[in-house]
Order: sequence, then C-alpha cells, then structure tokens
Amino acid sequence: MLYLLGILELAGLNVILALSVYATLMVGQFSLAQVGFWSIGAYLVGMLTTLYGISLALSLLAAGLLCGVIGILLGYPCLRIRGIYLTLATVAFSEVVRVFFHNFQFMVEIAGAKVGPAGPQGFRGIKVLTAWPEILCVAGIVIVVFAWIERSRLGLSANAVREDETAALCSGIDIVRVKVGMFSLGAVVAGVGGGLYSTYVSYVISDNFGFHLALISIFFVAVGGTERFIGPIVGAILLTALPELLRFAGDYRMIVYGVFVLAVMVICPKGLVDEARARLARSRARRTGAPVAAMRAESP
Amino acid sequence: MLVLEYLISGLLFGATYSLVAIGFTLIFGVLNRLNIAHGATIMVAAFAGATISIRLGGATSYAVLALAFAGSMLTGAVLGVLVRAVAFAPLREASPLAPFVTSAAVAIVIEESFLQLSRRVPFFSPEFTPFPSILENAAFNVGPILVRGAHVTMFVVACSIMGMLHWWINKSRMGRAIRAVEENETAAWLLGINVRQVEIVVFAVASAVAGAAGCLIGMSMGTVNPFMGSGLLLTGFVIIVLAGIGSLVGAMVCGLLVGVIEMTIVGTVSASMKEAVLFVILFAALVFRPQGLFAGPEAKRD
Repeated sequence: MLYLLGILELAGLNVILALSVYATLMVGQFSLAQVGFWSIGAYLVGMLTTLYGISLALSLLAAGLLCGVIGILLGYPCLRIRGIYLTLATVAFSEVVRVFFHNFQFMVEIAGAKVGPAGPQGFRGIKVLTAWPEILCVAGIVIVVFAWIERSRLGLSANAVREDETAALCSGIDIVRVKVGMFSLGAVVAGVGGGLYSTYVSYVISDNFGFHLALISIFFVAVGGTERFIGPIVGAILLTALPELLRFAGDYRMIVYGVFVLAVMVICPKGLVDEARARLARSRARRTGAPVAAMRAESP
Repeated sequence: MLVLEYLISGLLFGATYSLVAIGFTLIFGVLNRLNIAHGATIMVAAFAGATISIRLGGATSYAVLALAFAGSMLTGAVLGVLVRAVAFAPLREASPLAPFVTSAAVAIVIEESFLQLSRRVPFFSPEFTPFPSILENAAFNVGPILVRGAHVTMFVVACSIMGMLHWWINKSRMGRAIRAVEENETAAWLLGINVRQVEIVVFAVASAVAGAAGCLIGMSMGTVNPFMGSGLLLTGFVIIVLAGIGSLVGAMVCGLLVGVIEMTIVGTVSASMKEAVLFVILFAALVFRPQGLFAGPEAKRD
C-alpha cells in the first residue's frame, strides 16, 4: 500500500513537470528550460522552509512567483528565436542554472549543525513537508488550470499561434503576450513542482537536474500526446509506472524503458492519446457515415 | 607562458570538437533535425577503439592504434546508419518533436547498454575503461611550452579529416547532391537525386567523423566511459549555434574557438565554470546573432 502511494506521489510530481513542458508546447515551441525552473523552485523552497521556517504554502507561492518573473524575463529575448533554436537556448538556460547551483554555497547553522546548499555536495536535510495530500492537491489545481485554459480564450489563442502565427496575428491575437504568457505559466508550474519535489525527497543535488531529466520531461509529453492537456498527464503516469512494472528486468530496466519510448513514438508519432482520439473519431465517422471532422493540422 | 600553453592545448584539442560539430551540422543540414544520439555514437566508437587497443596492445604499437582508429570510424558509420533507420526513417512526416524524442530514446538505450556492458565485460571497468595508447606519455617542448604528442596527433588527424570533408562536400558529385538536398529537398528530388541515399550517406559519414572524434578524445584522455558522449553533445550544441547551423567551415572554426575558451577557463578559473561560460555564450549568440557567426545572408532560421 505504501509502495503504491509512493508511486502515486512520484506520478503526481511528474504530471506537474509534464504539464509545465506542455504549457510552452501549446504555442508550438518545445522548451527544455523546465528543468532549470524545477531546480530553482527546488532550491528556493528547500531554503525558505528549512533555513527560515517559512510555511510550505508561502514558499511554494514564492517559488512560483520567482520562476514566473524569470520566465517573463527569459521569454522576451527568446521570442526572437524559434523551433530548434529556442530549444537550444532553453538547454543553455537549464545548464547555466545547473552550474550555478553546482557552485552555490549557502550554509546556515541550525541547532548546531550546518544546513543548506553545499555546492557540489548538494542540499541535504531539507525538511520533509510534502506527501501525497500536498502533491495531489497541487497536481489537481494545475490540472484544473490547464483544463480551464483549454476551454478559455487564452487556450484558443495559443492554438491559433501554434497553427499559424501570421493568421493569428491577423485575427488580432497579441502573439507576444500569448507566447510569453504560456512560457512563464510553464515556469510557474515547474517552480512549484520543484518546490514540492525538494520537500518530498529532502535532498537535492544539481547533477540530478541535468540534460537527462530534460529529456525525460519531454518523453512524458511526447509519449502522451501534445494536442490536449490529457496527453501529458497520461504520458507522465504511464512513464512513472513503467519502471516499476519493469522491475523484473533488473539492471536492464532503463534499456527496456528507452525501447518502449522509441516503439511508442515510431508506432504513434503523435503520442498515445492523440492517436487514440484520431482512431476513435475515424471509427465513429465510419459507423455513422458522417464525414470525418477536419482534424487539427500538424504543426509544421 | 602558462596561458599560452592553455591556448595551444585548447586549440589542438578543439579540433576534435570541430569533428563532433561537423557531424552534427551535416545531419541537421540535410534532415533539419537534431540527432540527439550523436553523443552516444561518439561514445560507442570510442569503446570500439578502446577494445581494439586493449586486446591487441595499442600501448606499444602505432599500427594497432591506427587499426583502433579505423575500427572507431567504421563502428561510428554503422551505428549512424542504424540510428537513422530506427529513429529518423520511420518519422519523415511527423512533427519535429517525434525524431527528437526517438533519437533521445536511442541515446538512452545505447548509454544504458554500455553502462551494463562496462560492468560485465571483464576487460572494461565500470567507472573508466582505459584506452591504452603509445602516445600516452609522448610530449615535447617547443621553446618553453610543453606540447603533448597526443594533442598534436589529434590536431593533425582532425584537420586532415576536415580537409577531406571540405573537398568532398564542395567538389564531389555526392557532395553536390548533399548541398542540393540541404538547399531544397523537393527540388533536389525532382532533379533526380536519390534523397534517401543522400540521407544514408550523410548519416554514415557524419557518424564516422563522430567516431573519429570519439577515438581521438578517448586516446588523449586515456579513458572512455558510457557517459562521455552527453557532455560532448552539449558542446556540439554550442558550436553549431555559434557557427550557424549547417555551416561546415563555421563548425570547424568555432570548434577550435570553443576548445580554446574551454581550456583557458579550466586553466585560469575553474573546471566547473567552463559549461556555464559556454552556455552563456550560446545564449548570447542566440539572442544577439541568431543566424550564427558564419551564416550567409540568405540563411533563414525557422
């Protein structure tokens, strides 16, 4: 039971990470900066709660706020670049953040022991304040926010920007605001998620937030699907449960994991949820004889 | 004087970065997609070279070392073609996200496999597998500056590979076909160029060059390990963005530049700062000169 609960907690954290990646994907760009925001949130919340005794909720708000502001500052210059160049710029951001925390020392003496980020050794002894109620609560709020966005004007504008920027501009959508807004929304979500993560595992080290985690976070979204917010959620839950289901594979677990991701992407390049939706729509159309509703076009 | 030594060893070592970046940029030029498995290819090729060198005694013979080098290039080429077949060929029509993810998955599969291999194969070691080479301790003085023989070998070999590649891309029939596909795939296809074949050749050549880089780096470091490729992949990102994606000459020059910057920072500030500085440069380049230092005026970035 405890074991299942542990998986549930991890799945909740991964859903938050996946949705934060999805936020930028909604405007058609894919970003690897989420890992950077995740580690900023992790360190900040860890420091606020453990070193200064501030409550978890307040610390999470602070982390979200800080990451949101950094997201806006980062979003504006990044608007000049697109596609693969944006992706590389966000890799650069995450790596700079990682190296910053690798060299970040801020030790404070608490009850006779030195606590705090200790550079390459990482940040030990963070107060454990997070368990499944907190994680599920925050994940629930994030999911509700994304469900609301998808039905709101903002979601429609984001879709329009993804499909065709020029057309969106001609329809009076403020592209800059939508793009920077979605980018910093992703940053806020990642910051809060990182905060939950550090107060859940009680130990963070900068090396855990490297390129590898960035790739994994993209896997969640790609395996699930990028068109609806359900996709990243399904992807994150599936890829959290997968290593546990693969326990029999022992040391070769990650190899099987990689093969699984590869196979899913080759068989359904749009991701599981989008592929399932497309199939469902087609079979329904065949049954009723109605013309297939125009599927959303592939983004170029 | 010490700074001059850093500059020179950076310049010599940077030649391998140029090789890494050239392979990267060739594939990007033709497919318009990043090959995340490029780093893993480098690592596997380095392991192939190390295996040959360990088994046949590369610590004492130049011939074995040359054989190891050839083995690395061949392994790289074969692996490159495989990576294309698995991660890129089935996804020609998909969005850019899909091949990014598949090549990343391939990279993870390869890295994890070699992590397990290096634990289980007796002559590999789990942390750092040795790459014995006769050049290991060769060094000589040029005036007051100490130069390592391995670095000079690396520079000479890398530069001759780059020279050949430059000739091949600009003068040969295949090179012309590659440039045509880079420019406009549909038009090249209409003119009777076999685009599929061009892609396979590009993957083979780019990965063979990556293999050469892996072998040279392993040889000069004296060790190889399953994760040596991911750091090189990130360095490759920096170089191709600085150079302008698709620019071969740019990749060569910027590789040397990055080598010099890296060595100087490692020597004068600290080893952990080198990535930070490189990525700040990458970020600045993207924001202020997104077309890269070597891009022509017609280059379009989208």
